[in-house]
Amino acid sequence: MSSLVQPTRLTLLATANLALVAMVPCLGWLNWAVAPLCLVPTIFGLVGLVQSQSAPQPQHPGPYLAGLLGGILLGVTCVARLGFGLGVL
Amino acid sequence: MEGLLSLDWIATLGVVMIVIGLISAAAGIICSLLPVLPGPPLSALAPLLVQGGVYALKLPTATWTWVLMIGALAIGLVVTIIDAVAPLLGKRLGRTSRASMVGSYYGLGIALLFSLQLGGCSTAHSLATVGLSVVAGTLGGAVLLLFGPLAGGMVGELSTMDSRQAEGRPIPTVGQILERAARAGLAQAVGLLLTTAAKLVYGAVAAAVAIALLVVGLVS
Repeated sequence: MSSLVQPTRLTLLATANLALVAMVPCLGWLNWAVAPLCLVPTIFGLVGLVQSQSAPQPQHPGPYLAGLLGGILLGVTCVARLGFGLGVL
Repeated sequence: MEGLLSLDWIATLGVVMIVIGLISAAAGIICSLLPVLPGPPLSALAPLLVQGGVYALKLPTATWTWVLMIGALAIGLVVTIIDAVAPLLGKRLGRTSRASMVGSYYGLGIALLFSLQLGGCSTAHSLATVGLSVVAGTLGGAVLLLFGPLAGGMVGELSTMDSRQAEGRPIPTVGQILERAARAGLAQAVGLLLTTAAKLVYGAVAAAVAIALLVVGLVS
């Protein structure tokens, strides 16, 4: 069973970078693309967390928790930003 | 051509120095908000350039204005050093990781940009209650500025926590991991907000000193 640590970290980093750009005033429309992308680290984190708890060789759940928490926080922020910018600004 | 040659180049240089000094004062305050940008050095340049410009324009200068300019420069140097050392000190004292530091930078950046939109949006939506909405936007922004670096630092700490797990030691529970990450995030957020506040205060003081030097030169 391959580890999901690196995919979780990489997708979280990529999403955070994109979210940072999408927060810039007048670039709010980018959040239509970034908000769904936030699901990727969240899902990786969730799957990794379940795997790490049920694996015979226990893994540290830190990176998975980071993916889960970071993905949810970024997703909520992007959706809220979409609302404040009326989906365009 | 003759007109060009007859221009007082030193005076022109003085005016240019004053303009660049005032621009760098404003840029220093703006750059102080973000951790990566060099806010304090820009702010420190402002009194130096303005005093140089006043001197080049042959406006009267007093000894105390030179002392004020050198004092502002010295404080700028100290604030720059503190800004460079504080994250490393926080990392050592708070036992946090580099990822936590980077995470808190991301958190601050996202919170800053989000609060910009929050303030602008709340003002534009309801012109009838501009005062109330500006207060709501400002309060929301302040809460975000506190929460952003904390959440970013926490996520950053979590993301590399597995690499610091010693071989053979039992893996901590999710609750213990979250508690440790929250502590690291809080340490990073407090350090980041304190240094940002110090840089902002210095930026405002340096801008005030630059303006005061210009006014003293023009009035006296």
